[in-house]
Amino acid sequence: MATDDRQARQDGMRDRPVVLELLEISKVFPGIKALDRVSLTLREGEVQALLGENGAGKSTLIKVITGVYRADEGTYRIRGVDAHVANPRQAFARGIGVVHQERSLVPTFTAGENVLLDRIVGRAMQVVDRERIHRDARPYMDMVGLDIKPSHRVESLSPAQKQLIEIARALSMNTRILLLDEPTASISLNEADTLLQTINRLKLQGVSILYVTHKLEEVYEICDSVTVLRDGKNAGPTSPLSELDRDQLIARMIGRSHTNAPLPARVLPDRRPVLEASGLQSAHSPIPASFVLNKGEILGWYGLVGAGRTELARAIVASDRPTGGSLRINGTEVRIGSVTDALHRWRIGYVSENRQEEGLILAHPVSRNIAITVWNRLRQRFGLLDAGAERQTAETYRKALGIRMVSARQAVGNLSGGNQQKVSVAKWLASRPEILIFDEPTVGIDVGTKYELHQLIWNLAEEGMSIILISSDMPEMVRLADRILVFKSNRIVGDLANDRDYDAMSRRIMERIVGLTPSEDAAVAVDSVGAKAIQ
Amino acid sequence: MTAGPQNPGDTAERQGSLSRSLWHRFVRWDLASVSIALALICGVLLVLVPAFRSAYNLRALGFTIAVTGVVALAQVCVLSVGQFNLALTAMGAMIGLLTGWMMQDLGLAYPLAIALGIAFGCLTGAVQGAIIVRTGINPFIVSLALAAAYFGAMLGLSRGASYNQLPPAFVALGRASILGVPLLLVISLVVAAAVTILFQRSVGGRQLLATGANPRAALMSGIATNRMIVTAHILSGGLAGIAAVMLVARLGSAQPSLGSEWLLPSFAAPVLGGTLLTGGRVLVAGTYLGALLLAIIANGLVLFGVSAYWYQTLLGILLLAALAVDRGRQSYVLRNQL
Amino acid sequence: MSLPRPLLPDAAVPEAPVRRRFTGGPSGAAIAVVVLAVILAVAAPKFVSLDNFQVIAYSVANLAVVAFAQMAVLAAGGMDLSVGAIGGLSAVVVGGLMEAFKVPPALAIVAGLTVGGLGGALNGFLVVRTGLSAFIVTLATASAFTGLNLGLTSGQPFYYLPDSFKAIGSWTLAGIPGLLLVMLAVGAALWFVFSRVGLGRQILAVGANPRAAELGGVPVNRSRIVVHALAGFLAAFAGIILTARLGVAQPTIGNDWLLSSFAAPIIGGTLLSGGYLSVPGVIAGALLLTLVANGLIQLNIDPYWTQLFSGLMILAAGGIDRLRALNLQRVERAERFALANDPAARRKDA
Repeated sequence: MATDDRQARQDGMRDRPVVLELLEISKVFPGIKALDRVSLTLREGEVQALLGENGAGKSTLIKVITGVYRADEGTYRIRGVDAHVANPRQAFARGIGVVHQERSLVPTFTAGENVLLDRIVGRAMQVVDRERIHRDARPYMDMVGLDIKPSHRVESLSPAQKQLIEIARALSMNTRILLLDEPTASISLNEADTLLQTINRLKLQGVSILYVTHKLEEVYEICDSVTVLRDGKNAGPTSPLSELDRDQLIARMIGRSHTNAPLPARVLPDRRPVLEASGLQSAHSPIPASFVLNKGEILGWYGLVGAGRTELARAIVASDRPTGGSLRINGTEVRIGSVTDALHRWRIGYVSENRQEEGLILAHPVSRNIAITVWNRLRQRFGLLDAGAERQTAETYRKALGIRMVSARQAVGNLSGGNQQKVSVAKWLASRPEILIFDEPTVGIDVGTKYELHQLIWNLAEEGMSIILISSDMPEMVRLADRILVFKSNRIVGDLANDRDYDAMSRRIMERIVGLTPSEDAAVAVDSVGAKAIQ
Repeated sequence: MTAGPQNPGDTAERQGSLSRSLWHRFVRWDLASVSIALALICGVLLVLVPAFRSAYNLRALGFTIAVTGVVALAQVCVLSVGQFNLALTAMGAMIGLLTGWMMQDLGLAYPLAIALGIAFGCLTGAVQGAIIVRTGINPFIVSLALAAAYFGAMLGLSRGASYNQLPPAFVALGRASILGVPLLLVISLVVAAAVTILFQRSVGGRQLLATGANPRAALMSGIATNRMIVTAHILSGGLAGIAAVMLVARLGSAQPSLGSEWLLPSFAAPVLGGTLLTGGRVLVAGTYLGALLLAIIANGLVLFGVSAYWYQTLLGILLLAALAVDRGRQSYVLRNQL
Repeated sequence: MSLPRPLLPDAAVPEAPVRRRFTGGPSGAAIAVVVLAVILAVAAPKFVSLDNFQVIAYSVANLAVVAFAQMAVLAAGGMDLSVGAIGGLSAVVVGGLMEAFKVPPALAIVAGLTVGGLGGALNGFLVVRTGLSAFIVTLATASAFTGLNLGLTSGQPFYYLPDSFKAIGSWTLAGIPGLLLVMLAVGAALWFVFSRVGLGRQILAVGANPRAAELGGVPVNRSRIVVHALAGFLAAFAGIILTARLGVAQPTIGNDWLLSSFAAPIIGGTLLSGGYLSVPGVIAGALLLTLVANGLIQLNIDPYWTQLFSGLMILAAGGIDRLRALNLQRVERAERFALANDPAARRKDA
């Protein structure tokens, strides 16, 4: 690559005027400090990567910049002037455009209309001259390299094309600062190339771009500088990329091992497989996956967001119907028909990452949320519920997990994030599963609760429960897992025994993800896992 | 979301004055709005209209509440899973006519006819639930379409006939009393008690409510949500059957127009009584208070000599007003974090 | 763009990522209309006659305008259960003004349309202001409007309407009933508003994606109120032309509109989820519903069965809508995996 060229560019960058400046921005949500004195500097014509793990505060920061949230503390300047951005419209007016991961297009309108949406819907009593709209939209579509007719309906476009339309729209509104939230997460490589070219072109026109991503390749391909967030704080100042090599960047992202006391070492007495998957696939997890989970083991699934871990977990518990492959539990081949089946018959629980939408019934009391998985067992004559037993169950787990609440009749929605997560876990523990899948159990909860949950997971495994831990939090993974499967693009690309040496482990894992080329890597991994499954 | 009253300091602060805490308790009460409305209207009627207290009038009220209550419960069952049953009126008409036909033309013994009528109600509900679950078509559209289909089938089969020669013993049920209380009201309250137990005490009821409050979470917690949705519709059909039979007994005849007035009260009574249209929350007692409110307003208009035509207007306005007031109450509670 | 074929779940991905959609709705209804018309023409000798054509035309004209009202609200992502109540109320207002107060027809009609528009605006205002669902709001106002209608008229129709008013219902142009032409004109106007005027685009944007609409500067609340007012206006329009046609202002007008007001747009491909409507589709849907009712009479089948068929048609239309959505989802998913999640295969291709 043209490293010298980039070097030169970045040196020139320092003289450019600062367009966006955040100083010591803090934002507190009930129970958690999402942003803790975060600072960021973006210059004209600069492409800056905003990196960080899940829950590091990237999306909160984006929302502060675009006026969705207001910062509790700190200074927010645009071109050196204090900016009061109270809502997204005001952000647009100040030249800040954002393209979120979820699309904000009107699917039933044409591409051109969506680009100039402001103009179409801005004036109620005006006849829309579509020909003109389409003609006027053309230059903006050209700017982003969209090679389709402006009269094309948006709903029939590919995800990448839709994304480019949103960028074109932002440009049509005189955007000088463009925020892109993981723009390449759901598009193909070819399309990503087009997008990256577009970004380069915009930058030459003086547009400043803040680029949220998980993909380090892209960062080195197009970015000039980088800001890294970790646990809601800056992990170092905004720095030119030329000053950081890949290893240093990774080190910044995942940080050092936390000072918290390490968990006692674990000795796994026997390697008895409890759950064996071979070639398991579903509509959402189309690539056959094979792995083995042993009795009393904590099996970590590490990968970047969107690597297909959740999808595979859902195929196991039949939340997504498996379309191929087989599952063996304790050596016998089983066919799991539904989540009910998985829970009540095969004793596999899945603690969803999305606790608000899938884990809990926020409007219902704590006691009901905890006992929901055991209602069937609390059934008395005439299908009546043993209310006393329900209360007792709730009380048992409240104590065991230290859930802080006023009473068990309190609605779960009124608890803090950490306590909500504890309720979500409690409900699965109440069902006494043999296999428990934790999907990102500590995202968005405070550090104290996080360590309590780590201890809990560790204890459960010690008591013989077999656990799959899905996490994008590297320290958590290295701390807890006995063995780590590395996921990339729906494939298992590594099966590593965890020696709990943080630096070495995190390096080995990241090498699997960013280092090797995917094809050879995948082949190796599938072979090794396959061989293990046969043994 | 707010953190809620978690630290003890909060609670201590709030124990300011007794009257304030009583007021807080009151505004937090789900039935606050409907109770005030009931108390006001009853008070006015008691003072101004002596006929309101007459045994005759109270009996008439009793009959009305008896039927409206069960109709509303039929809707409540479906509301519990977050869906609507627009076919309720058509189900009522169809079951009423069917029961009348079985007694008059087939000469079936009335207990058998009643049982078959209610069973048929369950069947229509099952069909509705099964279509919703199996096809995934929007539940609103399914019940709208089935309302038309049921009604059309009923008219097509009966050719618009009514059944007026019903067994005297059956008709007598509609007039009977136990200790001065209309038998139909007793039956209605027994049904209400059963539905209360279902939702408050039984495993099935809990599962219905969980399904309505958050279908994804319920499914992920191992609840067979599809089965719950079908169950809700079966219950709804069965209760519509009970209501239809009660009304036929009360009127002494079965007509195609039976149940044509049910739709609004079936939603109004539960909603006035604090049941959520979006599912997951059901108040049976509140539903009966709502039904009582509707009945007393109709009754009051009659007593004041207002044309019955205005009843519907008042009903609509009242429903909106009550809902708006209750919205205000809820946001007051939320705002002040009570 | 070529796709990594071997890794697709079940080869459900089309050659090009540009997808077709919405072939089902309007054209499906049109095909059904043609097929049914041919069957009836063959099976029922009296089906093809000027008289019958006029009967159908009057019925379609009225039904389509009612359905336009519902179509507009559906397109904005709402619903209006009070179209029938508003139609009936406007009809008796017009009739009452002309009979009891001797108001000239033109003025009475304006008053009737105003009542409808205001009634609709009230719906919209309540929906926006209280945050209650459109379902419960319009259920309640439907009751209120019906009660107002019955309270004002005591359930009695107005029989003595001026001839000039009745003439509105009966004029023809070259044998074509005038009301049919009026309906087509209303349809054309709506088509223009929804495809070419800022207001119409605003409403559709709100229906398709309220968040995007808001960010794009659409006054979301105002659009919702406007669309409800439009629906009220159209419902009043339908009530008035029906009154003119019948020559009597019946308080019962609108009682039986609810079902068909939903049926015609749904059959014609208007999305329940909002954001899309089809004026020709609604007309085709109305025609289909009318042909079924007419066909039953022509074939000497008890007209009591009409509703059964309407119900089954709505169910079928709902089913088609659902299949379309499922198909779209499947294609989208397949594409996502094919394109996004397999860099290895893609590299080789590229």
